[in-house]
Amino acid sequence: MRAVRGVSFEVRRGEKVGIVGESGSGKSALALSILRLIAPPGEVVGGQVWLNDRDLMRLREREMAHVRGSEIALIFQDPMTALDPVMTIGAQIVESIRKHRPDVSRKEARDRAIELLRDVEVPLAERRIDDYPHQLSGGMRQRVVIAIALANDPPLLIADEPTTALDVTTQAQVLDVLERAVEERGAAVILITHNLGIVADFCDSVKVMYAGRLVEQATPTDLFRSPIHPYSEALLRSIPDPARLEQGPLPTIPGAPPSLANLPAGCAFEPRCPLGRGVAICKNTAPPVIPIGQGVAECHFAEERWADNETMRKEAAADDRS
Amino acid sequence: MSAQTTIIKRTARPRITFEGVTAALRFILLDPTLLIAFLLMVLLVGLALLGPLLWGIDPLKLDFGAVFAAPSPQHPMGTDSLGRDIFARFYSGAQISLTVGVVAVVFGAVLGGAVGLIAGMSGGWVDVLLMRTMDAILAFPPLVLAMAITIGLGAGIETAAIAIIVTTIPWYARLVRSDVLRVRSMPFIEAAVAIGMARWPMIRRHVVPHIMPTLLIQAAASFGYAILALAALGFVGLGAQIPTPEWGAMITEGLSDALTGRWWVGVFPGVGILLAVTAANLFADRARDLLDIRAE
Repeated sequence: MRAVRGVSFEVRRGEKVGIVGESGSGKSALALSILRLIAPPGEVVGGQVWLNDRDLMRLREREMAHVRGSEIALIFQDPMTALDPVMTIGAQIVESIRKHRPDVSRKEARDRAIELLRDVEVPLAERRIDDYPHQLSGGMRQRVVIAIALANDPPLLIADEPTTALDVTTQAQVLDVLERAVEERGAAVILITHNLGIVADFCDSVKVMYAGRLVEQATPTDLFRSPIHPYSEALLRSIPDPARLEQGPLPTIPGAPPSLANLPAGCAFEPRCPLGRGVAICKNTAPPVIPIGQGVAECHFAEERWADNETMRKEAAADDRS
Repeated sequence: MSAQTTIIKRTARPRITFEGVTAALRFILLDPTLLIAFLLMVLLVGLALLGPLLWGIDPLKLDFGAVFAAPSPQHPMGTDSLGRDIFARFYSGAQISLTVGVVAVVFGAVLGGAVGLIAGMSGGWVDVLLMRTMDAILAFPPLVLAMAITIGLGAGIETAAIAIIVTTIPWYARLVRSDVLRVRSMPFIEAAVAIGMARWPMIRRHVVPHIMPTLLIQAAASFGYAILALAALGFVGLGAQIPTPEWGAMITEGLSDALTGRWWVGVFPGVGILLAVTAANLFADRARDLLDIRAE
């Protein structure tokens, strides 16, 4: 079965791209395949990943090891387990620096590690550097994980649910830290999350993933004002909102994502779709990629829905101007 | 946050320092089990090292004028059928047993640990081949296998040590392998790969430190086993040969004397074995309680 199918997108220097989708939609599998970290027996069966005119899928394992950490760095979900508990955080940052630049002396690497900790706003960095992970709080550990990812100034960072393991106030702080750090460095970010709120704040563009495909790609503004794909709309509706609570319980998306081993012939969302359920074309034909506004959507109804939303967008744009 | 508001406990890289050693000693003194094990070990190691200097009687020297002397100030543990001083033979036996124990533990832990590490990290047919070999060794009762190996290689202390090492390797290998399987699935291993670390440096820095507690506990337990097995091999005549003052062999010699009331010939080497094995097992048990992260 294929967890990621026919996904294609580009990330420009300094761009912050959000990938959203529910559990099992293939978000993490996508991130791991970019870095070629899919664990056996899983494998990447095809496709290309171009980074500055090189196809990563064709690199040798040695060259790929060099790309990891120095050109593409991964920020992990759970800072409690992403750090080695028997090494000081300083040693782990230094390790990341010296792995890619063996000519840097231990002393220089240590100074650089302190700087990195300051960049991610760890207080008293020069003392904290000798702490072990268990001596730090979750938020501080996630900052260390970010510092390790930033150690070699990679042009691309992939953050896989970087704030999921943190409480809400800490989430906001850590995201601020991440945003400042990548903006200073001009690094691009692929942010993988199921939290649409984070995407709205952080990202320049959003990609909605469902059953291994990108079903909608749009700017956050367009997506939040007028989602084209019914799945995007359903996702937006299921965000808790105090105003909506009065109207009854939070809407959920009925059913469950399809089994990837047994995908329907047509649109993967058809059995759960409020618009297309039972509609012949949705059931039998996989929807084409339709360019819509500044993005694309994979839905048979995309053009109609875009036209329907036209007035809504204009009003919203007028609101913005006034 | 100003400097005076925060006093952060500094923990530097693991290194043997004076402070570290005193902290370890204080820890041992406050833990009754460890204290007993520690004192027994100090006693035996002290006798093994200082005995020859302070007592200075040749453990092989025959004295037919003092055959079967009962314990007295002159011969604290008495003498045997050939008039040899049993106290001198006791601490010489301690030297032999402790040395074989250390050698067996070092080789067993290094070889068995390496087998477990390679099997656990490689997986696939390498894992199957190594672990089925270990199972084959484990299929024999350890002492029977050790006896078979010493018979094959020729009786003696060195071959007994080799036999003991062979029988302990599978224990280390199995434990280390299961630890490696646990550690290698941890996210920080994936994180190490994601910063571009190559396989072996990653194993050395991020896997090996995590298997050390397991290795240490098993080493302590194996130390007791090694001393006991050496004595057992000596007792049946496959280990140290007469007249070597080895505890197991000494018990064999004292066996018939015990029937005629000369209990001290066989009892003192027995006490030596008891003390050494007790110390090793107490230490191993306590270390298991303190270090085993799975027990938490």
